[in-house]
Amino acid sequence: MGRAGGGPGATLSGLDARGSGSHVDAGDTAPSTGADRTFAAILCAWEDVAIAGASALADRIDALCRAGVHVGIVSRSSATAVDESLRARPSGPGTLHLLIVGAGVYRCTPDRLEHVGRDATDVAGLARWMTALLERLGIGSGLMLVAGAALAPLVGRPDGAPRVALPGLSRAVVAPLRAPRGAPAASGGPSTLLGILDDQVRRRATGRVPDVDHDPAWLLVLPAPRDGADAAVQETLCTVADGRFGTRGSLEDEDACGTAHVVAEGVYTDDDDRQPLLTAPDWTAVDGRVGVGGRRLLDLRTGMLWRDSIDGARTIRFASCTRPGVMVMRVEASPSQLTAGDALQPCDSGRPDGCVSSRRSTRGGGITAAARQVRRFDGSTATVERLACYVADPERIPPPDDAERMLATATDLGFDALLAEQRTHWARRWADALVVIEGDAQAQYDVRFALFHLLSTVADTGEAAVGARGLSGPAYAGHVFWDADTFVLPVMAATRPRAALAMLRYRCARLEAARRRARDQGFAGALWPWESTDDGEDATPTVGRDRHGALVPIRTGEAEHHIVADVAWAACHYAAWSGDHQFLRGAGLALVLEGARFWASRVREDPDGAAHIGAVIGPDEYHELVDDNAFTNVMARWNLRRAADLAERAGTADTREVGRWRAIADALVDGYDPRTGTYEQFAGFSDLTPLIISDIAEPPVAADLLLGREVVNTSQVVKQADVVMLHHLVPDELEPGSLRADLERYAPLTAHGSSLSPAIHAAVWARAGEPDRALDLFRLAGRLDRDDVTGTTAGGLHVATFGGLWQALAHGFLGLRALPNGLAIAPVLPATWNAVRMNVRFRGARVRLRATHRDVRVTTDRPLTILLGPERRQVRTSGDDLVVTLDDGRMPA
Amino acid sequence: MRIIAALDDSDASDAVLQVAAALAARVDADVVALHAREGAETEAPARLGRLTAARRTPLEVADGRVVPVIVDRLSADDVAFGVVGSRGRPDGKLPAGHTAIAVASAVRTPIVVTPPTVGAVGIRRLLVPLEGTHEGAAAVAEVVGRLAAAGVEVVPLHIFTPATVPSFWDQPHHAAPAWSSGFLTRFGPAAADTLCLRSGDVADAMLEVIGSEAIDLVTLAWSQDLTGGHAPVVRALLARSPVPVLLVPVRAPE
Repeated sequence: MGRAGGGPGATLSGLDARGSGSHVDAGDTAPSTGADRTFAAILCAWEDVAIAGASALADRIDALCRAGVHVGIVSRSSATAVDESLRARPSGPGTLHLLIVGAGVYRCTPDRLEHVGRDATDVAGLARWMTALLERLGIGSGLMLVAGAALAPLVGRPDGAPRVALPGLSRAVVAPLRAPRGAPAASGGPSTLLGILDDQVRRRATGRVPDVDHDPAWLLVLPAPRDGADAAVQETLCTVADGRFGTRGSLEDEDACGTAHVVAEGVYTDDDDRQPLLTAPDWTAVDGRVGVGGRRLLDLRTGMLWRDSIDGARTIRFASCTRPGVMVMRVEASPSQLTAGDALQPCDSGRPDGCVSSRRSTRGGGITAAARQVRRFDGSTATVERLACYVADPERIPPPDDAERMLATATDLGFDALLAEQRTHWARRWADALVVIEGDAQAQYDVRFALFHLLSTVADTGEAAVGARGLSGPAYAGHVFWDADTFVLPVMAATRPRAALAMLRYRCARLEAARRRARDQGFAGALWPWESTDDGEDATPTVGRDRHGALVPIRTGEAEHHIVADVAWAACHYAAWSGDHQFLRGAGLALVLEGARFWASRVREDPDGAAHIGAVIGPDEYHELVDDNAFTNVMARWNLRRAADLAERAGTADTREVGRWRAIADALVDGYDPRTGTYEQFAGFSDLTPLIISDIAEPPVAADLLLGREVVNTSQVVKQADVVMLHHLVPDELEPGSLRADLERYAPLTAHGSSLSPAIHAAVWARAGEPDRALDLFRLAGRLDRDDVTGTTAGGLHVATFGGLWQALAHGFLGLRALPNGLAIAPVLPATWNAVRMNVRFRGARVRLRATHRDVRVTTDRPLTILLGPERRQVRTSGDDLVVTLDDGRMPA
Repeated sequence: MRIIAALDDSDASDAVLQVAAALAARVDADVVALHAREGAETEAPARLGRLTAARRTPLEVADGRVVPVIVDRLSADDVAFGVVGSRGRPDGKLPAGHTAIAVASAVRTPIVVTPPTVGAVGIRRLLVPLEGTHEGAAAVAEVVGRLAAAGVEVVPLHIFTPATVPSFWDQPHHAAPAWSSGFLTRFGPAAADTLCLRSGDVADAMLEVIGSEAIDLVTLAWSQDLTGGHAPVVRALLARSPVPVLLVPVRAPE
């Protein structure tokens, strides 16, 4: 593949990228072997490179480390000997390590040589130590340059034969230190190495686009879009977000199809009656046509969107997760192609190197951005480096100074430091959330893709308003549904507890509005809006159109009251996983108590003592204004009991009120029929017309569109998990043995017309001991956005489906549950999976799990009680590996 | 650019002329009336002469077999549209008259098939049913674009059938605009930013929308084959539509 420019100095035309490391057929992602590359790390063998001259090497190593490159030098000499010869004293942010055979690892700092590792003593072990360090820094092997005969064999054999190589170096590039026979001297040897290092230094100085690791297991690979529709879907899939701001993956070209879309979490506007998120100025557009054809790679490992084109142009962009609001982009192309244009579109106040721009919400809030860019040249390649900083406030327009200050800080840090921060930050995120599904690369990829966007979407400070499509598109207007509380929050609770807490702070901050809403409707406690924005009022429209185009009332806002218990459940779920019980004694307590007060006022009590909840809509929204919806009633019962427990524990309980909560909970009908062993979805459900959905259409299918509101309302057809959802959220509230009976009753009736449904059914089927049946639904959820199954991915990602997917893996296939006395693990894996590895956070501990069909390995960084298997046999970990063998799916006595 | 109004001296002739004139006014074209005469008839040309004179429309009377003559004239490069009567009488049993079907089946020129009951017409709102195929969307794109550029309001319509109903429809009031946006990006006329959605029988739904959306003209892409049960929607619209139907042939695959 050709590249623009090339510039002066040595080229890397002799470099050889070996090995693929591929598990997923994600297209041809490997970079061309002759490509000009920007590496993030260099590993070289001292005995092979020293001949280039220690002083010359030291100069270049210092320069590279200043630019953020990490260098490792392997030697059989002593550390002192190498250090005294080299005399490199890099100040960072890159590092220099001496990897000494027989002695271990030494780090060269500006003032001393520090012995930092003693375990690894042979070449392979030392190289492994270096790759482990790089992994912690978010640098994959594809970003590594390896130089030296002693190291080249670790990279692998170019003929593709089975290799005895280091997996951590599988995609590394070998520098040609030895000239091929008959080749001119310039094609190999010490001068080549110095030329390569010079080239690396120069590429950074001239603002060239750095590479991403072409590791198929971590890449979303997209060809140039075929048309506008394809472009719109790609834009969604390629969204980069930092939890506060989201930027769709629109192409940078001025004439590209698609629409740039930058939004700030939690800043809404009344510009149209949907009350959408306010759109911010765009930071991604450049004048001219950046590239022709080519492809884009979204690096899930580091959150970077990279693009190349057949005419050599490249771009890279990311939203800094370390510094939310800071956006970073580089573009390179031929000078005739690339004129930077305004750094923001539109630009309110321009200057030669940047501009400032604000957008005002009709609600009084706003978004202000400041951007700066630098244009440079590297030979025949022009580069543009752009930094853009965003500040948002739902209540005022942030002053330009705020954005300018951020921009000044980001500029001082510089591109390389921001890049390094980004890689390291994502590496830490993945260390807490890693998922590996051995034997099913596609499933693993789908979960990673889902996790990537979930981790990108949710902020972990302040409040986090997580809309149904996250920050990835205009659909659903950024409104917050129960999706956030019951689908997304559990993922955060187990991987980024601070993000889960931020989601709950969003609810806490709107408690007064929820109280007011309850009061206005004649109830006590708090009634959360079905669709929530920044003000806590219900943003659900009241009128829509049916399949015949007729105006019909939308009743979810007035009747989907289970949201009250969903929010309480989220608070308790967070506390159970994080161990942050202080939250449930403080701000979070009201989320649970006010829920109970609502239910206590919402129920109707019969003279015979039974309590009912009438005129609601359950998760199955095909049936409106039903009485005694099992989901609503059981969740309300759970809420009442949990509130009673918490109030008593807090010692501030009004005993009369708590007593009433318990009495109502005990009196609430739940629809359980001991004759069938199942729960009736709502009063009268059994009297509706029986309807096996697969007799009419193969699920998933939007049955309301197919059959009409009238038909689905009078039939036993279910939109999504309703009773089944109870088995997922509050299994202990249900009769033992009812799980399978309910699945067998409701699965044939379920149309899965909601994108929330398949993953939850997958989780519950797995818990019922049918992992292979669960796997089909798991796969459907996994490809929902990847394949645009809904036809709506162009409008944004289905983040709740992503949350459901992770939950199906964690709570379904692995059987993870946070119980008062420990972490329960009960794996039930599909036959085609060999093992599942998952990292989670549990009550302050970092937990690494690996479950196979035969055993479970648990590694924790502090002592922890594990409850293994269906019997929940208690095992105490001490911080080391704990391996327990499973026998026929059961834990041995 | 010309629009040829094929007249047969039936009750539909006046409607055909009116529609042709309304279309011509929109796209800035000249209307030419055409009567194909088989044999030595004289009364029809005379009556049509008076009718066209009253509308200041030139009339060509061409001798020969009706369908080949009309097809020949419509095939000229400068003919933008042909307008024919759907059937001679309002109570006609066929979906359309033999001539209308034969002509529309034979030419690549867009043909407006006009029911005899059309009264005073103006072409303000154009219904564009889209089944969700690139072939169908491409077939009507040029015609729809031309009419939209001439100020005609375009009303795109998609009708869900059991075969095409989406798999997921989360919150209907959010799902509909999100799905519509994606659909329009793929298949929609450039001039449209909202999509009319319906479910059920395609022809029934189109007829309902024609009424509820005050449609003046409906355009359909078709494969020019009504034999053997092909094109049931075209057949139904030709038989039942109260407004003219603009038939645009789907391009044969290259």
